[in-house]
Amino acid sequence: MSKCRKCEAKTEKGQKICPLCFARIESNDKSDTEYPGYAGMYKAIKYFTVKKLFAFLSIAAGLIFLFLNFYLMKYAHNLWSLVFIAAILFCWGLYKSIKSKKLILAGRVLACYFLISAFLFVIDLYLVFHKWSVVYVIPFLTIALIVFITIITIVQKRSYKDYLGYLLATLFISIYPLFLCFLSLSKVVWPSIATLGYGLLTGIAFYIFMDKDFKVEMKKIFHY
Amino acid sequence: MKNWYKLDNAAKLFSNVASRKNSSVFRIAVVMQEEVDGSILQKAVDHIYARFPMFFTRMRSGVFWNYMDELGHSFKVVEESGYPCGMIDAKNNNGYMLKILYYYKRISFEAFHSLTDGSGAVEFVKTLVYYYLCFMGKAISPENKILLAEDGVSLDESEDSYSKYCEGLPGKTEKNKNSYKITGTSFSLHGNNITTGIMSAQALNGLAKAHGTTITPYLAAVLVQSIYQSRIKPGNNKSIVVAIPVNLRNLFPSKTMRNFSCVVNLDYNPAKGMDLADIIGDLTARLKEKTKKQCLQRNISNNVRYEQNIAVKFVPLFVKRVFIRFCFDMLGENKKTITLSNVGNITTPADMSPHIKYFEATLYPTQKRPLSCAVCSVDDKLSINFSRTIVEPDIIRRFFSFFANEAGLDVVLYSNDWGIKNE
Repeated sequence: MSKCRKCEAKTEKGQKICPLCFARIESNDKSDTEYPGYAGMYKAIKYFTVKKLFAFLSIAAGLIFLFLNFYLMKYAHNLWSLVFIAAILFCWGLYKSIKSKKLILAGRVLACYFLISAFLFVIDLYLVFHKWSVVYVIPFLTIALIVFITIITIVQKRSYKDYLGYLLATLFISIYPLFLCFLSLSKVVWPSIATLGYGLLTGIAFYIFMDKDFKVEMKKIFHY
Repeated sequence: MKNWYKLDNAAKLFSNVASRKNSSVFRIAVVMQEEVDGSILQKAVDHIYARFPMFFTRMRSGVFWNYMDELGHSFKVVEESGYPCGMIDAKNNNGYMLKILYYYKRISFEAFHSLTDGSGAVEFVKTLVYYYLCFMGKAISPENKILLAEDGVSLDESEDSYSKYCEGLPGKTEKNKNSYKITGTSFSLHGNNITTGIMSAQALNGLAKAHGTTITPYLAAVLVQSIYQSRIKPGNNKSIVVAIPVNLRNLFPSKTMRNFSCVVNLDYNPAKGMDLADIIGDLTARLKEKTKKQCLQRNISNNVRYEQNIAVKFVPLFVKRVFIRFCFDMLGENKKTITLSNVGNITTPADMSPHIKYFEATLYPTQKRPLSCAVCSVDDKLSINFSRTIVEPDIIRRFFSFFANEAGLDVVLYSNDWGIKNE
């Protein structure tokens, strides 16, 4: 046992700093209650990173675009800067999704799908809104997403439990283009119906062809 | 055995509110008399792996609720390198929601609170240390105090006791009182500083008995006084609220290894006077009242009724999560000043005692409660563990100074020095 000279607290043998007043305690012993050192974790902190630099440049570029847009409003009467800002946000979202450590491949692809859909919708909106994004691009992008996630669920059979949730989410998303039609955003319905049909068929195919484990997994996922 | 588990009431809460700054990870650790051998510890874990199937699981997402799925692959013990009670990233932990760590003489079990509570964790650690010592060649008689690997798993150990013992009408939810919040300077790198005080359990019990109370309300009263003396300016009428987790196994015949505890809040308003005897009397009476069986039964019903509501059941989880987080903040975190968890006296076989120096229980602090306290004892050594995410040790200093200088107890301190040594 040692004693702090400053506050007189008794400390475990080998404790080098008083836990109550932070005064140094002279000791060459190793404490029985020793914890690992954390110096490495502190050294790992980086104050300058390329990511931080790009974050700064993105904010600066966004503000400059916005300023120029308002300054030149008398020559061009539209908010073109918002498209540039959307593009910057899209690039950051894409970067975060791809680099995400929390998400598995299917999750990253799903995140990218939402980002691409949103970005194309913004561009469509800016270009007089011909609705090409809602009518054609988003439905076919959804089909591509279902195909991709179906393939990785089948290929990664050993860890298919991890992908099932994403597959279900994707099948649920196949309703979404049709939902846009109901909102009168699109009058050309067939691509949306094709997407819904493809999603439904994929779901039925999984239910018929997958083994008993698949049904057990469904029971777990839908338990309430 | 079944290979997946629905979450119990507490597990549903923790799985939805956990974040980097609210890890919901607690630790039960043992400081041994000799340096720990990692390979023998691994052998002990491999031996007991099948005995605790509900612990070696991973959290998976469901449409309406998450669930725990058994993992068949091996579990690796690792040498400790990070700070205690940090968030467990299942993806970087082979899917598991627990960690078994060793460093020099300490064996630590860290678990995400959705898996189990303090009682379940203590049983696990006792079994782990028992087999570790056996594989080290020590002759230990289990004396019916250890869950042996050879005994097999009982279904009762994985039951959801909240649902089983939820009966009767729920009571009124306590009104949100204006509680005092501890604040301070965050460490430059987020992490938990642990400060432990070791004292005689018998001597502390004697002090509590002299005031006509038990250890938990006595410690709660000293904590209230320490917070008041360190932080609260005269005229401030905010109540100091000490949240105390109560082990429901003492009142209900449950053998579950999963969560089965609930939290009672003991509030004390400084306007009532800050004499220690008065605080002890007030908190003892409140704790006695709030831990009556009917009161706890109502507490369980209050917590369970929402999840059993048919309309709530079919709301997708991502919607429920928003609601749960909001309620946790408003009805849970905002009501508390500090949490004091008393894991109690841990009984080990007599043959194990010479090999164990201390038992430690460590509770995670949160963003709104940057200071937490956990207590446990083995033989006559009681450890009081404070974990904090703020630099200021004033409350802890006042707390331990009371025992060392005013109560006359022999208190020995140590710390992991997080945020102090490297700053």
